[in-house]
Amino acid sequence: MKKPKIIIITKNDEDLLEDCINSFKEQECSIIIADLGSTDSTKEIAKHYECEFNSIGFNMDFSEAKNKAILIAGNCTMLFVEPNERLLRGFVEMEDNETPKRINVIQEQVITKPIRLFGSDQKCHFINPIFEHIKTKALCAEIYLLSIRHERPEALSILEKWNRQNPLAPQPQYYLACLHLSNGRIDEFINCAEKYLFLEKSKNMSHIMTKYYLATVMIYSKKDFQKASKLILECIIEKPLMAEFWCLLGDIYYSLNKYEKAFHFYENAYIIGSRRLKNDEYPFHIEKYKKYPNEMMISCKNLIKSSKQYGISK
Amino acid sequence: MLGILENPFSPRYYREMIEYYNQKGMQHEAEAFKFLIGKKFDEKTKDYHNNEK
Repeated sequence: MKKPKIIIITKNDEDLLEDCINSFKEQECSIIIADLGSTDSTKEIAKHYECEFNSIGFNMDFSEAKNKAILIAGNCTMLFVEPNERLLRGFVEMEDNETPKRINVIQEQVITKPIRLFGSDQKCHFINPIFEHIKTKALCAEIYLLSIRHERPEALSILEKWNRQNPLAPQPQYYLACLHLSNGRIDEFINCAEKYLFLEKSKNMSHIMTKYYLATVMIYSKKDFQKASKLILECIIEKPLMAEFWCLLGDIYYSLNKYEKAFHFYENAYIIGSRRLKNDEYPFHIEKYKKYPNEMMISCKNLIKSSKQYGISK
Repeated sequence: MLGILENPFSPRYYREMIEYYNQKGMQHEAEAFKFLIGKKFDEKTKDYHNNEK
């Protein structure tokens, strides 16, 4: 097994970079900083930690920057890390000839599994102006990164430009929806998510997760339970082993004071969660595989008991 | 008022789903639905068991 080179793309990330580099200290990997024109102390931080610093310029296109960084790294195994991420646990290593691998990125109880680890003979080439997009089946390495919430100031304008250039492409709509949601812009999220669901014909994971988040917003922001239930049922049909979906169905009934039905679905979430295979590609919301459904089942039981005690009809 | 919400997952629905996943070769999903049909909480073991015959 070999230690891959860590590639970090930076632009005025002095507040985040030090913790990021420090988290890889014990891994003894060499770190390449590919800088997009920082005017802060990014360069000094890189030098202080003996990282290889390269100024690569920036033309509002992150794929171009990543591809330049690959050329700088040369013929070696590599791991892409964002400045707002820290290594939580796991050993960073990879065989030369291994196929690309996913890693686990955790942000606010949500796990995503992007492909970030590349063998030296794998020609990886990024194409999206922002947010990587590699469509291939890949195994997941036991590497866990913790991601701190951070939005690149250029993200929205790059996405909007990408969308203007490709108005019928689903991808920019998807990433716009993600960006709006993560920044709490609910109406903009709904608009982009609905456009994305209309444009995306394949029922891939992005499609399913967009429906899930749209259903979540429909319940908690818009109180549109009818629409939410339709969306979440479609999600369950596609991926019945995701406890998050059963929990959300439980949440709908819970919100409607139908606690017996809600209990039934939280119970399903709990069972699905406890019988999940270790190598299942998902979950997203870790808590919803045990802790949350368990708490909600107790809550439902208590509410059913109280209803019966005080003669309130169900 | 709620339409589909009134009875979204009847036992019949579960059985149809098992058939659907079996046809698609999604064995793990089919097994999960089999378990959900027959789910029964065992007070002794404090865990769920499949009671489906």
